[in-house]
Amino acid sequence: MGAFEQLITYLSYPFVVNALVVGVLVALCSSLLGTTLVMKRLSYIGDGLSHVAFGAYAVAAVVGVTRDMMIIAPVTVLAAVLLLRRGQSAKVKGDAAIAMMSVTALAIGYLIMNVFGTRSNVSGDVCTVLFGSTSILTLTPFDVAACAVMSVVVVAGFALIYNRVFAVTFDEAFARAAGLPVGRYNLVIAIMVALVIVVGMNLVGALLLSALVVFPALSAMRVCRTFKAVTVIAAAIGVSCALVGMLASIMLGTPVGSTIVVLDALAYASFCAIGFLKRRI
Amino acid sequence: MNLSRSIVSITFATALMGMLIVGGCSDDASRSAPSQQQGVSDILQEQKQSGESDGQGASNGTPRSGLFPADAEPTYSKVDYDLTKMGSDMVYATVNDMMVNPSSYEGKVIRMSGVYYHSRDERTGNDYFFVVIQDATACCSQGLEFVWGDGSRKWPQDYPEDGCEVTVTGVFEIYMEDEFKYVHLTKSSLEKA
Repeated sequence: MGAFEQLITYLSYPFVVNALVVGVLVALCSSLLGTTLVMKRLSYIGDGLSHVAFGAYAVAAVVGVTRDMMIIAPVTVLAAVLLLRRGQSAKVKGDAAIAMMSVTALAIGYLIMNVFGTRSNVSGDVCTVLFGSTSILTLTPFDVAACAVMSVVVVAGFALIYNRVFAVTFDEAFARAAGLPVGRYNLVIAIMVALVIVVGMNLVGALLLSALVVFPALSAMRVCRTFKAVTVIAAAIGVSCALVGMLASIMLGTPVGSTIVVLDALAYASFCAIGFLKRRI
Repeated sequence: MNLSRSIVSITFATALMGMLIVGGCSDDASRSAPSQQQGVSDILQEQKQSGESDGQGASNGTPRSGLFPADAEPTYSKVDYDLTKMGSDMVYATVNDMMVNPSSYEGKVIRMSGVYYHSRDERTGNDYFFVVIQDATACCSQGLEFVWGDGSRKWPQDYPEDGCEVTVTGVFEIYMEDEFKYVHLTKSSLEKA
């Protein structure tokens, strides 16, 4: 069977189609929000919040909750609100706050799973959540529906408040002086980031999630100069790398998350080269 | 000047990445793979030890003489889901889908390769036979129970050693036992992979 015929066969499986749809939506949401986060110097928040989500997953696993997203989503949203809502007025600024919350949640999560865990293969569960090997291919119908709804909410929300996000991203002080409710928009951004983190863990796992957020925006910034252009190009890069990465991993039998992140890194290198050549011409 | 500075920066970054890659790809990968493998194997080994009542004969992992006689194996002219032709991601995901949506596969002929294991339910004395596959990172496993032929073969004398690579082809069936729903491949052929 040729590679093309094999791919067509794979696409006949419902769980593959679900994975592609959810993966594309997750990549789209991540890259849209990534532009804002990178510009607000909060690139590492994806990593921090994903570690918090891991900690919440550990609690859900120990408690025995079937639909762990019911615990992971609220906890991650709360952490995002604490980290992002205060903006520039926080006592502990972005990177330090993220680092504190990140390592604490990761350590507590792993400790809980080892001490109170009831599942036989703790290492396997941890590995799957951290690296998302084939998680995207094993989504339950509830997971698919929840991911799709959350992704649509994020994309729609971003589109609706795009201009305010732009203002809050570039100059929070000016936006506040101009009468924008900056705190409220920081809260909305925080909630959207948290939702993206929760659904993104299924695609690339907790440890690699920041790549989905950071790489598309950074790649676009190599060649684009306006916020809108960076946002659009970042979305295109994120979606393309996720789609190609998922198909490549399915065909080659490689871990899905790692394959997508490697493609994101290659895309970044390519756009660096393009940007370099563009400046030289 | 800017060009030379850029070249120096790129060279330094490449050298640093190379050092990190060389330093990171030595023992950690080889240490982690066995521990992941060991985790799954430990669990299956515990099941094996709790089920075995006598020692195994062959110790070199090869099938005993008389195993897999061709004329006693069921044969299938058409296979609906041939997992032996799929990548590891798809195999793992398909087996997982069989567990989650068994009704979609009932009555279908499935072929899959993996590692053979046996387990015995001490309460009922029933023997169960599995073919186990792992995901791409080898940290998680999925197994599918099978019934070899008509199920009349005796364990351990007719069956291979645990840990043997085998290919199983059978009909996917849902069955009930003690009010619980299970799935397995019935009327299966078993051959060395």
